[in-house]
Amino acid sequence: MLFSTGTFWLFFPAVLIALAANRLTLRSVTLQNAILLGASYLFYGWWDWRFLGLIIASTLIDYLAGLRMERSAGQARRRWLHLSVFANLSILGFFKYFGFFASELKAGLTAAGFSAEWGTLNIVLPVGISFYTLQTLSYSIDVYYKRTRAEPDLLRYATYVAFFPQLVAGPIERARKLIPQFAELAGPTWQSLNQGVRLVIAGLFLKVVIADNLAPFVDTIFTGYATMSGGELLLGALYFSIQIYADFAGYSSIAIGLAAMMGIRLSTNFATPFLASSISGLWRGWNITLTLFFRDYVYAELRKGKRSESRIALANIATFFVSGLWHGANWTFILWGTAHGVLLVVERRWRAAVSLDPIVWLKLAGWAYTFGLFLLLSVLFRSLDVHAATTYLARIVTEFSVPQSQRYGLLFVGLAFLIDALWRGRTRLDKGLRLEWLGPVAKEWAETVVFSLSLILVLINVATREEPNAFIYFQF
Amino acid sequence: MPSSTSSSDSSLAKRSLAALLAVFVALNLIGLSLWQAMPLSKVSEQRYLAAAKDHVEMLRESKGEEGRIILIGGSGAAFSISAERLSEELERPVYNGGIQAGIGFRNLMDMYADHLDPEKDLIVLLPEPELLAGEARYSQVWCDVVFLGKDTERLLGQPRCLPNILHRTYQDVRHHMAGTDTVDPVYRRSGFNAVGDLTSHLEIDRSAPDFSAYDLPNLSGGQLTLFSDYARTQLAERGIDLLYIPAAMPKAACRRSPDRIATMIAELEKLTTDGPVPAEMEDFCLAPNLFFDGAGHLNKGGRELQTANVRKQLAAFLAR
Repeated sequence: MLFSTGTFWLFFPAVLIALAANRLTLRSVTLQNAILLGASYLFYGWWDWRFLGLIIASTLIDYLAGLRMERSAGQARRRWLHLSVFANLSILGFFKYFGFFASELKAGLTAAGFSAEWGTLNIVLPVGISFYTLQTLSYSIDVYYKRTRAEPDLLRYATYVAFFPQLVAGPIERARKLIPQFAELAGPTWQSLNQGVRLVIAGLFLKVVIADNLAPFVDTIFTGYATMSGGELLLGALYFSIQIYADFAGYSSIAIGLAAMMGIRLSTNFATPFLASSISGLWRGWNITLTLFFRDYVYAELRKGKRSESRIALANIATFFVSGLWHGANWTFILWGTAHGVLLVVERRWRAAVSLDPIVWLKLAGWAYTFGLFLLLSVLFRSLDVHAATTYLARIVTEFSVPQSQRYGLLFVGLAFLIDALWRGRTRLDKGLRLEWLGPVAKEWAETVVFSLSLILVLINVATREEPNAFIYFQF
Repeated sequence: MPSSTSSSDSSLAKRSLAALLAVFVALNLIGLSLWQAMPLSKVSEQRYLAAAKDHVEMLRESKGEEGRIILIGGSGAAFSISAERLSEELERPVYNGGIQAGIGFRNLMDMYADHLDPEKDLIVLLPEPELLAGEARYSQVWCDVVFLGKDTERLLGQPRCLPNILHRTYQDVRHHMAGTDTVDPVYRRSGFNAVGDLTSHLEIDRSAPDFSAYDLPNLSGGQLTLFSDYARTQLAERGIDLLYIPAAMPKAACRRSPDRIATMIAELEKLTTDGPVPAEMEDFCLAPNLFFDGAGHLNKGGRELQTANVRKQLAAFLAR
């Protein structure tokens, strides 16, 4: 069930009504969580009900492991953690990486002169598995390190794992932040409703108007890259960078907005990353909850107790290697992630010597290098294989000329930057858009008109498109 | 979320939400007023679907003519049958009511409903499988018809068309400002003759389309039922005579899906008043060189053949 389809907008009000009815009559937390869990399973099962079994299995394993960890110590405690980590990574590994490793092993053995004749399994990747697996992993690790208590209420824990707004593409929530919200009656306020509605409109605008309108340009350029000029290929990389940003930030905004309308607060996941003037700044604003997951559970483990620069550099690169692998079982993603890790290390060394912040033109140069490198590396992210990516990148230089076609997409690039400029530092909309210079009354009216117009544009785009486009991050 | 907020924050948020709703409604109303007040651009006036208004007018004007025959289908009927020729040969008034499958059979017939005469009309149903497969009350094509007709009543019946109408209104503003007046040489309103046949494609020579990958849409029982139920309850039960005649299909599709076609025909034949007029299916499965394009529209030669097929079926029906 996609957020941008009519089916979802029949489903969601029904959930809101059920929650409101409970709040106004029985005021039962158990019933509230049962409604949320039922709705979440229905939402997920709409794609393929068979994969519900995976979520339920993952939930039960981690629920049990969490309780056992809390009640044990030493080796026994560690064994339960290992069981949880092993189970989660096995599920993820099988569905996401089995095909990749099997084909790489086959290629390696064949290259070494061994006979490697085995068939391939066409394994379908369950939607959202990469997200909820990390969420349950973070729970187990946090319980192990006593950062959070094990949740004794199975219904509450299952709701935490499956909460539908963030189930399939995040934000990846920590147990200590989300589970306590399911321990009490969720109380949507007029403020949270107002914020939620605006976040949903903003998210739909990013997804439906910007990302989905850029999609045909991106598809055309990346499919026909062998015949396109360098300028058009550069536009392709620019369009894809904006498309994936608008797609994913749009999803996150909708998820946070929907949760807010139900009275649940989710974490901010994007904070205008394309306005950053450093790679590290960009990653502080890009898929924040995933970046924090890797920082806290991979990077922190890798550099534990080590203070040498080389160890830190290695930990950084290895973390981004894992992040790349998480994005997909393909060398393109691994290279993409690793390259970002290397850039961070280089930047860290360089930034130790030079401070950009006070000087405007240096800050601008920092933005240009940050966005430029992200844009070029995004070619790896979008290409089918490394050869296609390197050919694409080489042609940008060797076949460069001013683009004669595909320029209309720049309109949507401009819109994306305009939104970021209006939103800078205010992703939750707590203070609204950056329109204070209009004065308080005019600002309120301007925002109202902007959001109303945005909603109209969303509806027009949905109505005039044959098929809704799925969110890109569903495939990871 | 914060469990307690001050009452001023709450009332501010309430006001803000109400303002958002009010401005959203106001902007839609402004768009709708513009749609009603602004004349259609030359592009819209000449669009293929603008012929829907002419078809309704044609049926209104000819209502009451003795022995009137109305052909109903999608663009297959419009492109591929000559009502003009049938009229000459059968010596009866014949009108072609086919426009485009995307309008939806039920929507099309609702438009025509007031101008049908149960006592004097014979409706010939020639639905191409695409018309049956895509049968829906809401479609972008139908919304375009509502837009071109400036039909607020039908918009109230299908409010989902509102964004489509605002979109088309915006496009029309652009056409007015740019002074655009280019229309497709084939798909244009002026391509229809006075009895509703499309003729703009007849003098255009094109090579035979490739039907090697073409297959008929898979019709579910539900889609056929939607069509049949409407024809039965809204037409047959009103006393209107019905005759089902198969639409022309590419030979390749006939070879590929004989069972699917047989099932469809068996179901639709039941709609014919006083029982089916059996058709030789071979006659309706035509060679690629008789098609104008890959959408199943016939060229001049194909149209002559299909018109003869329809005449044969009609003559058999009328002779009963």
